[in-house]
Amino acid sequence: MSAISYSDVNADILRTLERPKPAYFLLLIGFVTAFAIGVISWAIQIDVGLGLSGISHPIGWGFYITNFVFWIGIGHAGTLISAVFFLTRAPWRAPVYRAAEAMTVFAVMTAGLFPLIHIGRVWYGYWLIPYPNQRMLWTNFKSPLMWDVFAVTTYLTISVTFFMLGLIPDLASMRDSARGIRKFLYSSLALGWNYSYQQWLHYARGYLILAAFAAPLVFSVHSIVSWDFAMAMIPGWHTTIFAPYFVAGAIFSGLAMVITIMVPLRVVFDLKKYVTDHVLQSLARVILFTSFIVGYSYCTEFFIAYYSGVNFERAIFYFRPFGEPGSGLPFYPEGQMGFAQIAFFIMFFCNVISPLPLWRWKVRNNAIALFIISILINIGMWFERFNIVVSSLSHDFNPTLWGTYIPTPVECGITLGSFGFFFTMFLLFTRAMPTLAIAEVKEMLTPPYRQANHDHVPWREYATERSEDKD
Amino acid sequence: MIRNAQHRTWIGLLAAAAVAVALLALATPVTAQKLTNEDVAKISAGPQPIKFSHKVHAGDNNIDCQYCHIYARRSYVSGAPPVEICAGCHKYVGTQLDEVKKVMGYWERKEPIPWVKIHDVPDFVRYPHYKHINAKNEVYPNGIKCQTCHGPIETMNVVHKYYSDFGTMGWCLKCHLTIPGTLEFKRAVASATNPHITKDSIDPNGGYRRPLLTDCLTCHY
Amino acid sequence: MADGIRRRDLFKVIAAGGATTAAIAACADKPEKLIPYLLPPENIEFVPGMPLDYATTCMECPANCGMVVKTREARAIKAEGNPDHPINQGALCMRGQASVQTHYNPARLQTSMQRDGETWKQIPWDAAETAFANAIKAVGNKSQIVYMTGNASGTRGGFLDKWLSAMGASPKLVLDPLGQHNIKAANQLTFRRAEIPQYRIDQATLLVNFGAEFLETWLNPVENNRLYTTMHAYDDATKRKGRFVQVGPHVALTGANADHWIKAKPGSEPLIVLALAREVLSRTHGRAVGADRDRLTSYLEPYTLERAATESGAEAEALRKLDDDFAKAEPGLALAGGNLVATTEGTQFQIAVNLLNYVAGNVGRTVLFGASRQIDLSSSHAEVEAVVKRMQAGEVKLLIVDGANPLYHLPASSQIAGALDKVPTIVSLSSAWDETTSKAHLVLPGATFLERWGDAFPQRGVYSLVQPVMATYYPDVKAAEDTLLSVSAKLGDATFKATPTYRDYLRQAWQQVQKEVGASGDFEAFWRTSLQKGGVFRTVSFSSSVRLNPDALSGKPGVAKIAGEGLVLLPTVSLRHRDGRGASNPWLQEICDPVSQVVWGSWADINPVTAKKMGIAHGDMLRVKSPMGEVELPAYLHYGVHEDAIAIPMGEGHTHSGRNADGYGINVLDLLPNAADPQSGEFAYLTTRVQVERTGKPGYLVQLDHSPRQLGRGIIQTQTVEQARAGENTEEHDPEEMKHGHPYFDFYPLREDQTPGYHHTYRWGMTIDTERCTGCSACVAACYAENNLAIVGKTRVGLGREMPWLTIERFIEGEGDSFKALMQPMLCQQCGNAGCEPVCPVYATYHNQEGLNAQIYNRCVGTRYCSNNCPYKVRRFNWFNYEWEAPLNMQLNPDVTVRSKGVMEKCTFCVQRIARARRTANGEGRDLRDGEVTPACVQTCPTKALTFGNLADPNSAVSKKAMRGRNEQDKRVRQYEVFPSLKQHPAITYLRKVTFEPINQEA
Repeated sequence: MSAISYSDVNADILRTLERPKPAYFLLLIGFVTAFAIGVISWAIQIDVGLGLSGISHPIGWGFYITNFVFWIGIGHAGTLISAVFFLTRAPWRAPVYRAAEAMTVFAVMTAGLFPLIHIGRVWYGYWLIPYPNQRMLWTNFKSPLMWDVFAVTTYLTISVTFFMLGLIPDLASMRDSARGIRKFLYSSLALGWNYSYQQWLHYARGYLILAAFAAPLVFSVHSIVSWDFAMAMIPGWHTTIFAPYFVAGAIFSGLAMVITIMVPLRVVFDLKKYVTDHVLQSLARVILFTSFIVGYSYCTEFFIAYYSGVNFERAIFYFRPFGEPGSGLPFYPEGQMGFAQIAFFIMFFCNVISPLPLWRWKVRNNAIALFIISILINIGMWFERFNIVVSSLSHDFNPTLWGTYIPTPVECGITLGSFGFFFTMFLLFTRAMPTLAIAEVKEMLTPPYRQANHDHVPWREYATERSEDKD
Repeated sequence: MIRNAQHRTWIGLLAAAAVAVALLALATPVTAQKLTNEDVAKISAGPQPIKFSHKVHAGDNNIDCQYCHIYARRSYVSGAPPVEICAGCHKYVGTQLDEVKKVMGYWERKEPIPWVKIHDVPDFVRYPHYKHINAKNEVYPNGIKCQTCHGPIETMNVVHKYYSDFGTMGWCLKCHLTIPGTLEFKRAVASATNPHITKDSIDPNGGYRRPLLTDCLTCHY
Repeated sequence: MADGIRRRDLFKVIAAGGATTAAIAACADKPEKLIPYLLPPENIEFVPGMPLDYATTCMECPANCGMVVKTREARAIKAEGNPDHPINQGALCMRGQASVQTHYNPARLQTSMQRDGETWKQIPWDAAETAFANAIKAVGNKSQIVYMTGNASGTRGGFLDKWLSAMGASPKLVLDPLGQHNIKAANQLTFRRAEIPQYRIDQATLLVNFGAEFLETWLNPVENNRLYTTMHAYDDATKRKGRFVQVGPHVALTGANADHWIKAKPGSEPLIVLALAREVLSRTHGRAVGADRDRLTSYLEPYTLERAATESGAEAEALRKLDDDFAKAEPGLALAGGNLVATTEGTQFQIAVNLLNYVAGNVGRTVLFGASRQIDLSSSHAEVEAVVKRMQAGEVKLLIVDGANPLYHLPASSQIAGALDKVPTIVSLSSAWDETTSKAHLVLPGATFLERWGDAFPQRGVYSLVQPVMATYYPDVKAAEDTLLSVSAKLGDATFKATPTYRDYLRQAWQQVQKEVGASGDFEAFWRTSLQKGGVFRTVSFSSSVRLNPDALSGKPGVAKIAGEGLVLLPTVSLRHRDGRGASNPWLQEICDPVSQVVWGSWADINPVTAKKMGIAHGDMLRVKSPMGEVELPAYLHYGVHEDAIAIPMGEGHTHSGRNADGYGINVLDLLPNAADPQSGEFAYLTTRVQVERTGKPGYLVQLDHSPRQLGRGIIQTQTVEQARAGENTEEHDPEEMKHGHPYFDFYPLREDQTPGYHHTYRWGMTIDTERCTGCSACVAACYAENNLAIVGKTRVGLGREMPWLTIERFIEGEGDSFKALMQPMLCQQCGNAGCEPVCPVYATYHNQEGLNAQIYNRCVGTRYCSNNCPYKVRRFNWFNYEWEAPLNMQLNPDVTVRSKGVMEKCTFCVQRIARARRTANGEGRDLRDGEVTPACVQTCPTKALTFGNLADPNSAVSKKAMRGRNEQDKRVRQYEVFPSLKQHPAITYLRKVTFEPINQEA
């Protein structure tokens, strides 16, 4: 492929902001409907009560907390790519990081809703915020749920800031070409960017520093989320590997979601030039790596359960794959399969088995295959969280009060709604902002004046496969 | 030039935000004042069925509160005066007054008077009147007066909340925390992992004689 | 503070603006009305906001326990046992606890009504009485007036007789399907004493029980529970423990408590009894029987152990051991009764049991005559049937029902339905809708026993009064007695001129009582003190010298002949509904049957072996067919039933008793033939076999338990008598613990709750002696009554949304006939180091300085994290706003907040009671005394299995039992905490069950 000029980049990327194909609007309508369903379901649930969800005694947490963890997990890829890979100077991050960051912001926004959705009296949700009040009451900082409040809000703030900061130069270039209200918005968001040398200098520094801020969050936030479980004493929750296990899982699912989004995106806006197969397969490598950490954690859990000798632990890890423990009683059949076993096997297949083909170079470079695998991983990771949250609760200490989980329309509606919300936001984003970072893509190119009789073109070298990629 | 244009919009935005914040800040105390206003209290409560004046009864004729509110010293509730008590006097006193005629009307019709509640605590609060009226401690050596919480009722023609935040938790605690021993006890408990603490070191003046005044379970169960 | 105010308001406004739903919360603050009394109540003790107790007598079943009813603002809110009453001594059973719901039953009759074709026409009370009077006038031959009542206790029986004779009507009928006529007839034949003897269960060292469900409903279950534990429970001081052997085809709650169950073919008990008698006679050489020896020897000759073993299918070994023990027992006691021995030869069987007790020398020691117990005053089935025949023949012109429900309580095969249609006029004086009342023509609603006067004489020396604890809830409701009196006045009858109201009549009768008890002084004083105490209670010694009547040895009892094909139908008595009265009490429907853990509806106990043969799985819908009819109900696989039998509890399957009873379960009486024992006229329950088949439909069986096994988790622990006597503390269920050797061993510094002085004078705690707990579930009902627990209904219980704070957990150990069903109460353990406390983000739950694990409902936002982190899973979440169908809401306890949707709730040791008691104590400037506060569950426990008190006081009863002091740990024998390895430091200490054979609790 021929060298790309700066003007090509502007043209290609700004083109994505022009009037899109009807397919776009069809998608948008679909997602908005899903979102509406979610909102209505929630309204009904608030009115009637949490009894409308499948949550029951003893299973106090169900779909909602599952979704919360799932979305927070999704929210990890963006900052990882934009901050961590920026610091580690991974060249292929440039074309995907903008979309990934947007994804992060929206995912965290979605996740933030679920703690509110799942509490019994959402109208008192603000009691979870520590503020001086006439009751002279304070919140309980011993509670992992409080830590969540801070972790999530911090993460949201930082990722939004980082996102907006990265946008500034592109917003400026859009401002220049925009008209009317758009011009006002873009120019106000561009914070008076004028491409001056000093601005670039400070900008680069600022970006670096903020990246350094954001990077630790990638690991801290999901660790704290994992402590919601690890700090409790429920068998299946109360383990020390949860933090790394969850972080790995988060990155795993996050990157999968990036692929799920980028593959269609580059087709719709035909950005194959920038989002090359090489970019995707680099993502695939990280996915493969994290899938192994996740798989390893699964095995560790079982080993520790066995090795600890605690019969509560052993019971729950027997229950997850094999069903009800043996009782020798005819009216309590052994190995009765249920929701938990299904969840477990889906989880294991999708997260440990399905990524294995990524060893093959061909598969990594085949967008369709990647897309399918990434979808499988998303499903698998949702069920991993379901498996952790629900099956542990359903079979804890007191056998006479064990339970089973039966999902209900309302909670399914709300879950659907969360996806609706997420993708609606993302679609709107693709219309409003450049989905690729114009400035950073340009950094990849050879400056125009160097192109004359110059055979060493960094972009080409970057864009074409290198031999060691073939295995 | 483009640059100035950018700056202008930017400054404009900042100004707008500042104004918004300022407005909010100004608005709140005003509304707060409104809430505490006696008239508003009256309006929100709606008119009483009878223009009863505590000033005339408790103030000018200084009738004891508990002459009418008969259960205050014996029970959790102070007891709205039974109509018979009103009739008891007003068979003879002020019979010509319209409002008194109204009262006697209720009495003859054998109807209770549908007073409008002014001082109300939520249903999840247990407030024993008798424990407060009979309370004796360092702060209230000769017991707590009705006025301590209800304010100078005897000066009111129309009863209203004298303390705007009457019945709110912080308002109750303001008093509960002043009772000696309570805070000391809380502090002691805060460091209760120290094995040298005994009951006396926690609360020299006989802890058990005093309920746990800051324990949620004292009022909420 | 000025800026402080502004800051707070700022946040108020922001919050209101931020959360739209805050507006919803704000709506609650509309000004309320303040409605004063018109007159201050004349009763000076009456103070609004303060409870006022009345002593009365429970009329839920014929046992007539003494009762104290707590009223608030003049409405009954809680029933408790009367501590002065000699029979129940302060305890009540679950049905007694639920009597307030009978009182506030939504299905209560509210006004006088007249039938108008298919519909009902409301008519003024006076008109109704006139109509009643005219109906009586209209009957030419007055003997064609029939009066059926459900209750003839104390003076009432005599009153009814007097009234009926004044009317010239035929004598009254007292309906109770669970009569004791076999026992009376048998005693008449054996000892010439036609009465129910006093069974001194507590005196026995060996108790052999044939079918009598004496811990559930038989005679006075409250008293039986107490006496039984006195005899059976391991006593830490004397180290003695009695043995209890259950013989028969079915194991329900009573059988589940037995140390050993000898499974026998249905109806084969007589052989076993007589075989035992024979052996005992030969071993003791007739020491006890004197002159009757030879006669008895020859009579008992044919009844050998071998024959008994072969014909009953019981293991000969077990029988031999049993009679060995019985001969040695000093003294023993053989009990027999209940439906499963009520065959057509029931009297013969009871005679056999009498002989057994006689030869073993128990008569006069554990079987005392002369108590003249009035526990059963019912008419025999034969008498009832005679009347039903008269109805069919059209010889009954006027039927008056008053608390009697023949249409439900008589088997369909008695043609009662057709008979009722033949009666031109049916007048109902019942207090609530039931099947018979729905067929009535004229309804004059009666009062419940909480609204009327009355009395009961359960046994000699016990004169128990019934007084109204509140005015009739509905204005148009009148006690049946008063209705009768005013009717007789209308008819110009002069019999009752002196006593225009039943109260007057009662006072008149009690002047006689005063003479009997020899109380001096004027009657008014006597009357007042009797009302205050709930009656007059004298201890009397029983003359119990009886001689054997030779005629008793005429019968030749054998295995009862049971007609038909298929499995033998065992119609068992329901612990919760007895014979079906009280089925419309939501509590009794939602509290699970402790052994089966089933709620809301009937089930059929069927042996797994049989089920396997017939391809029936647990919960399958069965069609049970007998010659008389057929029903459909779910199967329940239960080891405790004979392979050749199927057991179905009575009491469900109502059709006109209100929405809480109608349509739940089936009425087993529909399957029974109309047979009776010729000698006693008692209805014969064990008479038919039924065809059982799967319908293929899934049955809707809702149970509270998930896993019937405790998987070696040591929730209910047991140890053998030897271990207990040797003082071994068996911690076998907690290997991790034993590694450290000390239940409180901990790497971490002292927990708060162990710090001296942390607990502010009190550390509330409880001990639960599983050895004394029989699983009677009275505590559960008490908890429902005291704490405004919501009833959620069958579907929601099925989804795990039940709301009890205290449940009876049941675990099954072992298999086959040697299975054991262990039961114990599980409630919030008020942990000193609770898992629920640190995880609550808003401090809605925390550990207060009195050791209570507080739950502040109005602070809770409902994250449910606390429930997740509770290892005992005793917290309950309000999934909806639950409603109390009027007038059930009148029963709500004003001292306890009614929780709204989205709030977690749980047991706090009845903190409202603690608070009230402490306020009194503080007022008097003293500490609370030991035993001054008792939670509802502890108060009502018939066996004193629960002890509550202050653990911070080493001399309190609970401390002595719990042995919680660090230095006392070594002295612990039966004490244990559940899940000690979790370091929750629960405030509840359990005491192990003590068994004769070790129970292996496999992991």
